[in-house]
Amino acid sequence: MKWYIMTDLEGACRVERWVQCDGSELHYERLEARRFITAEANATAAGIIDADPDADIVLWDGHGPGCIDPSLLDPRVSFIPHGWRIPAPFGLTSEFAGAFVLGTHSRAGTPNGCLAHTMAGNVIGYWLNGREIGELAGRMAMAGGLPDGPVPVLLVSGCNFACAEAHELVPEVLTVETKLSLAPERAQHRPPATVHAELRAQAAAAVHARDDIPPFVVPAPYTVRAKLTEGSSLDWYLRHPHTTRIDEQTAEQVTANLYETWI
Amino acid sequence: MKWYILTDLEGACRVNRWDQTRVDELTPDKLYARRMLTAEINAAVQGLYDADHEAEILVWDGHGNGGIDNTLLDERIALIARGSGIRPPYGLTAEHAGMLVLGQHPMAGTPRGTLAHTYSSRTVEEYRLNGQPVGELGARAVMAGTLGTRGVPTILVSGDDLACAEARALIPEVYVVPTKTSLGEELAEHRAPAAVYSDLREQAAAAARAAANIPPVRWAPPYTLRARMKEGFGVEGYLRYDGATQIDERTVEVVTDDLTKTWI
Repeated sequence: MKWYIMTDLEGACRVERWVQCDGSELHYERLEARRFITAEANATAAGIIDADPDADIVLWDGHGPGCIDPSLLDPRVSFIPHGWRIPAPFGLTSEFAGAFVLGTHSRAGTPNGCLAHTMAGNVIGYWLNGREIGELAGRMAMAGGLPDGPVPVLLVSGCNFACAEAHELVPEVLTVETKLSLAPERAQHRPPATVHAELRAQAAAAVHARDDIPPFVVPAPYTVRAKLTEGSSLDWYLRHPHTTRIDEQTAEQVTANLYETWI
Repeated sequence: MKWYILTDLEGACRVNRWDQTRVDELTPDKLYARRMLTAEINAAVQGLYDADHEAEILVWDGHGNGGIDNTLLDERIALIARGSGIRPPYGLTAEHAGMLVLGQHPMAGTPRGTLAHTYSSRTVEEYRLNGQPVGELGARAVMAGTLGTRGVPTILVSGDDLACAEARALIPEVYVVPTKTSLGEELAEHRAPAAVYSDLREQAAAAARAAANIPPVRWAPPYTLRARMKEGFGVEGYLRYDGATQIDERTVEVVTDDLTKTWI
């Protein structure tokens, strides 16, 4: 069967500072961080293959400047690098039996959320049909809103807040905590060996439990709202179809198609 | 059992210059120093597992700008990275069976002490706790001793010969592993790293087995913690702590029953 893994970086174990995540240059701190998330991706892939030896796995590196070290990525995994060069839904189709979301961080404004943000540093918040969402909910809604049928997100890994958010969205989803968020750039990290073992075991369990984990389905039409910090430009948002300016800091879009949105 | 490891960078083997420790950027010198400390941590961790197969280990990287190479750190242990920005007791709890202090340097003002300092190597002249001069080791050992109903014992200290002596003076029963002999502010004779690692593994195991017999440094409250700055530095940063009182231009004091509420 086909399985889809999407990775972000900020929620990985032993990642806790912006300098490990941002920028185009592959300096030492970014190289370190890439190794950590790549090891988590490999543990997940191993678990999927444990449960489905013929698994066809596609991984999309969803972190803007890239977070996967291709030289260390499991060679059995197909790979779509570098976040934003591919339009939504980022290679995900209804043919996939399930999706795995790794390296997840908490959404913008989460108190004490380690590397908490939603897409960019100037975003105060995103809302989908009136509900405040972060990147996780956005991606889960996207998978649940595919035109040819929803794909369930089976497993989410990331900090404790990200895992709690996943359970709020879909109580049945499996989660693996990588760290306890303590502050914007601070966490208590679990032992990577434990995280990797749990990812492998839970990924296998998720494959087996596939039919019992519902997709996150938000009914169309979609009303998506973005509020930015004071002084930020709304131009990029206003270039999306069916989008209007609500006030100086807020844009809103109403659409029947989630990939037309910015979430 | 649960074990806690506090690390600093200046006391590691083959570390003896400020440009290996003070820099925020990951220069080749800093990367090398981090690798040296990380190897020592891994050796001590292995010793803890030798003595306690079920060990649950938490490391706090207590060096301000980070002293651990997290890619080389043993993957079986939990981690709080870097020193700055976190408040006492730094993840240490009364449930920990013992604290190990690695990479320790001597307190500020120690003659011939390699990279000797107390907290801020640039600004602090001396800390005193209940009138007694303390370095980082003493301050943290006393703080650990205040936790819970019996306190957490400091069971092993590694660092230069003077840091080890400082530990022994405060805790006669503590296990120590010298990494080098201090010869001056930026000069030391380093032991063979291989000997340091095997000592760390053995002594960490021995310390874990003996932990119940190593008394915590349990001082009775109230605690009077006094910080004196070097000439030219003020105490503004300390005055935001509850109860902090300025004594003179470069001296500040706090009297408290709870050391974890101070700058310790």
